[in-house]
Amino acid sequence: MASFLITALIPALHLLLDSLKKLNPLHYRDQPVLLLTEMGAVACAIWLLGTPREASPSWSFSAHLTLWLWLTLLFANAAESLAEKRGKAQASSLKKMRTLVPARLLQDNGEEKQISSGELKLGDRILCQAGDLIPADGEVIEGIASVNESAITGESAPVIREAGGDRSAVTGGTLILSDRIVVRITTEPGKTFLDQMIQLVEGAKRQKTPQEKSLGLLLTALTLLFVGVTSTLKVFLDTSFDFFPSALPHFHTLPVLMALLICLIPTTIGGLLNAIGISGMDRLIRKNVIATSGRAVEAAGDIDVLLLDKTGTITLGNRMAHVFFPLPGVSQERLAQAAYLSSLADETPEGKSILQWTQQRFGFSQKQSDSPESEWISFTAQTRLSGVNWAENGKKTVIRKGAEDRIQEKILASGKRLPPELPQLIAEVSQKGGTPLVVMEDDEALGVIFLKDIVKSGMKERFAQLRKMGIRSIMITGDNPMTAAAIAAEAGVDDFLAKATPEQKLERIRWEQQKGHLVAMTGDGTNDAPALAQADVGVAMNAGTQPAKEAANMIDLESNPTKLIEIVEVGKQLLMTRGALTTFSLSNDVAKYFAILPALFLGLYAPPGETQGPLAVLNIMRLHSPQTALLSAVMFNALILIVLIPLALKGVPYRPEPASVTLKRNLLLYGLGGLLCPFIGIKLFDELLTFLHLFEP
Amino acid sequence: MAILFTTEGPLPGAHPPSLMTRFSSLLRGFEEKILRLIGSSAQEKMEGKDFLKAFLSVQVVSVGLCLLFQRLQGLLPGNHLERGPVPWSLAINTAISFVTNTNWLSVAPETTFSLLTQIVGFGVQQFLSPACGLAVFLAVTRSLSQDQHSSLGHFWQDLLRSLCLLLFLSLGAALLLNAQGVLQTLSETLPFTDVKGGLQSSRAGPVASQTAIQLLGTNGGSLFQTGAAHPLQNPTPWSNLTQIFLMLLLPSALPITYGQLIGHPKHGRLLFGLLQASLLAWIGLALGVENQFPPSLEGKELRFTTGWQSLLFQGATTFTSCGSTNASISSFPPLTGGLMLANMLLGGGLLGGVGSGMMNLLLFICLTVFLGGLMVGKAPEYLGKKITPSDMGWILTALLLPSCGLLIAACMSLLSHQGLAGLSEKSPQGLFELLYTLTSTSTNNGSSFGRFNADTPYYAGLLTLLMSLGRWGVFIPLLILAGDWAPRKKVPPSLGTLEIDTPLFGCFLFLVILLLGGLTFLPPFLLGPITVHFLWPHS
Repeated sequence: MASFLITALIPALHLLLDSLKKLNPLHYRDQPVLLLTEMGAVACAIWLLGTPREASPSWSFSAHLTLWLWLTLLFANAAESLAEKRGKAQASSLKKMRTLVPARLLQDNGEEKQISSGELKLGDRILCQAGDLIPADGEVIEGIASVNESAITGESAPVIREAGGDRSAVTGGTLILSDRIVVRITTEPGKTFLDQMIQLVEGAKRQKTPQEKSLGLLLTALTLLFVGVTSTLKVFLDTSFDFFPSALPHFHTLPVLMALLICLIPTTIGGLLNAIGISGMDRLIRKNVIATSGRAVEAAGDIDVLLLDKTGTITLGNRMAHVFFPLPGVSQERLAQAAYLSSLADETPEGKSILQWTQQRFGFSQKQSDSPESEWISFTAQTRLSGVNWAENGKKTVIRKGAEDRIQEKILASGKRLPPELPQLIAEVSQKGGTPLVVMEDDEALGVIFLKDIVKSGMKERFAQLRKMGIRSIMITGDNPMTAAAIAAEAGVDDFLAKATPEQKLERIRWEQQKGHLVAMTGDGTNDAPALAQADVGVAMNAGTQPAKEAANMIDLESNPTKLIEIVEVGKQLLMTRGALTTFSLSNDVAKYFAILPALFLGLYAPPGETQGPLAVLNIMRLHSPQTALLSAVMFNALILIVLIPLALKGVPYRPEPASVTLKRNLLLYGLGGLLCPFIGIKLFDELLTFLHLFEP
Repeated sequence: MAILFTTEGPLPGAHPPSLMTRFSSLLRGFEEKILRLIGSSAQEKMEGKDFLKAFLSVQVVSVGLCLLFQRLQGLLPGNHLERGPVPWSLAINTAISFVTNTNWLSVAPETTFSLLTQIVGFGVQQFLSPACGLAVFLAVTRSLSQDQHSSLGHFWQDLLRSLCLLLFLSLGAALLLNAQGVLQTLSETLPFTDVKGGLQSSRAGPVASQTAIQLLGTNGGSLFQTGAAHPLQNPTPWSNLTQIFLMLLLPSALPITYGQLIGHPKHGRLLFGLLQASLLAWIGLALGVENQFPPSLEGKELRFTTGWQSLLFQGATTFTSCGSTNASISSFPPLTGGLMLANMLLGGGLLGGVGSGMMNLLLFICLTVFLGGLMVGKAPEYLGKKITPSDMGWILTALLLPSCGLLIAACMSLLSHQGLAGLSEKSPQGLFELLYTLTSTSTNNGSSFGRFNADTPYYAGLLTLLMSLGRWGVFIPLLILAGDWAPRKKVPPSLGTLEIDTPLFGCFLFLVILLLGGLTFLPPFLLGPITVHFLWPHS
């Protein structure tokens, strides 16, 4: 029991200490609402100290008011501390990874030298082997290795990092599981990805977004307005009491006027504004997205066009052999045999899928080792074909399989003519959304392999959801337009950009932006970098290349391209929560007026011998006494902060639905709710205070 | 009455662009000549800054001319009653009053100004101030309707066309009023025989033509102190109804015009519906309140039946920012008077002045769109123009500066001897009068209440400041905003965009206006009219 108490008490004490620390006025320099609250609370405290207890009948009551003003501040601070706490826990675990590790520096003369990771400079080459922690962010320039990146992604499955291509970036602090690689350091110490991430989760780098600035202005303006309203109210009241002198006690002492002011200024939203912003970023981090700017998160809530790369995003990265189309006069088995032999040296998933298809249908079982005299030609990205110079019984057969244009070139180069049916077959495959591969044997085309793009499951639903959110999706692909159209239709995207070059991607984004759209783009390759930088929201895959990651303003650690839906949700939730709480805060003021003004006006113009003036009818809540009314209003104002902390941290839920439905629901909940709820709350507090006999009239 | 309310907006509002262009095609040659005369051409388009400069230059020249007429009226013709130069403080106050479309008068006009000062000095402003309001309205509208185009139009052309429209309409209105018995003469006095057979004379002038523009331009400045209660200005119940119609005409039509010009007619119709519905609701409420108390006939003109026509007139005059009155406001039950004050406090009269009313409403729309946009999770935008932090600054300045000025002015007056001297009595009634006066000037309404004495140098200065703040404190930020909006890209609407043409949005807008006005002015409102009501022997 005792240990349970202690485990519960320690975090609470931490929270209290943290909230007390945040009372430092410097902490409020960007939060005028809370700064004013603190100034009011300080003024009340000074008033209490300067006023002898016996001199004012309302001293102890004023002390209560002052106490609640301070509590209001503490509650607001606690909200911010709670929001920061989750980020801090993550930051401390990240910091552990940042400890210095030994690094093997490759010197120019080719020798290795043991140094500490802190001494690494930009451009240094280091060697990393299985079991090593990668000492700093860099790019693989030699070799291939499997790396455990769970420390930053939370994903336990190892990932492959290899030189060249789009999977060459490694992150400092991650663990090499197998093989060895040479890494070129691409960031300076202290500016690594890990350092950035720590700064982000600690909230040190949080800048104000445009909407936060606008809202800040609105809150400041309202605060100034209410300072005017309250100070002029004092003059109006003084004058009214001058008009009709009355012996009845007045209530408009400094603490009471301060209480009125603090109740009127939007403390609810002002006190939770930081917590909303911090927890929004935190929610993204927990979804394994690192946003390098809050502005991008906010913009994400607003995007209406999404560009995504086809490969690895909409389709599984690998295309699979689907159907074999032999040319007239060629048997299915002969085509399959040739395809099988030409794919034995093809390590790509496509090649493997051809082997698998032919093995299943025809039971081929040859291996490369079965024919050592044959010359095997493996697939490369440059040649875009693979094959074998098959040697059997002294007879040589040249078998090739590859991209349609490459094979056609080869046939034409040999002086032979293309069979007229071949282009037809190729077109047929393209129209069906497949990639055609042509198989040839001794300069003679045998047929076409239909490689099919496999669309990931659930994509159609995802894009339908995006459409409901008002976001148009555009697929980018290097495929020809016919293939692209077929895949686009299957995946359910709204539009596609075929045969896309980096320039065309950039052009398309600019064109959409010119029309006033806000564009998001997900990509991973180096050739995506310009487009990622141009897009309003650029999400790079963590597995992607360093240039892509630098150009983007968000990095998805899980490398899940449809993560954008969640990013949009977080962006929208941020705006909605701010809007809802602002509306709530403003509509609260009506009830507070009806609690406080009747208390202030109670004795005004009271006929001789009576304690209540005509304005007492404004007490529509039938609150028991001016003291309980005032204190109830201030208590409600402070305690509502606590009630709303979970909402501020979790955010107002977003549903993909038309704006009018969302507006209606949120207006009812936070507008009408904000109007009614304080009437109920203040009445309850009044009953409670009366029951406790705290203030006897 | 229903026909009156439902026709006033759509009639001229439905086809204003075509009306304006057809109108101007008739007068194009004339327009070109005039523009050439002032060294300008319709081809050159003005950006925000140039437009603002042109607008301000007209204001400065107008104030100067008004001052000249008042100071030199003794030397000028048309002064048979030999009025001397107006004292400086009063002259400045009156000049600003007419240029800002307030037309507040701290003194009885017939005993202070010569006929020439009234019909030329002030008469020109009765045309010019609503025309300036229309020009600003057109500029701001263009800045919202166009996409990445930095020009706001051509100020002089807009001004000229607005003047033509006002001249054309007021010619018709003047004939109509004259036909109903409103006086039209160039002589300064009108002799008549009183009931005892003695010869008396009344102040006279071109009343019909002055009244026409006074109502159409939501000016309110009359030749007489008694305004529309004067039998020569408003002789019959029918002329009274006509005048109500003329007052409401342009402010009601402009939302429809606005909807058409911004290319979103449904939005315009929603605003029109909202304003008319709230006007009707106000009349219902005021009639309900009025009927709760024994009828008071003192201070009301029995020509206009027993009171309801007076109430209607007062409702219209405070709902627009006209300020012409046909009864003494202190003769109404305090609650009804309070309702009139509330009209002005809520966004300066929802219908507001010609041009300025829509501009005030636009500020509230922007605030509503900001809150609504956030609540649907979309960066706030209005008509596709994103609302940036700098916009928000200007919007809030224009929205809150006049309100804050009003509150501070009220406090200053209560804390100073000069201020308290204006109050007829040191009571809630006095506070009510002070509040009414300050509100009427700061919202550029111009109607006056009871025995409040504003003819002191203190109030001349204070009210001048308030009138300037209420007019230019709104127009200048708005023209700066328009200059910023015009070149901005228009975001095409999507499924997630806040709809601004639904009844839901209308309700939201109305609540924002009610909430902001209520939270700002509830305490003095309770201590003024509401307390007077409770202390009133009838309640």
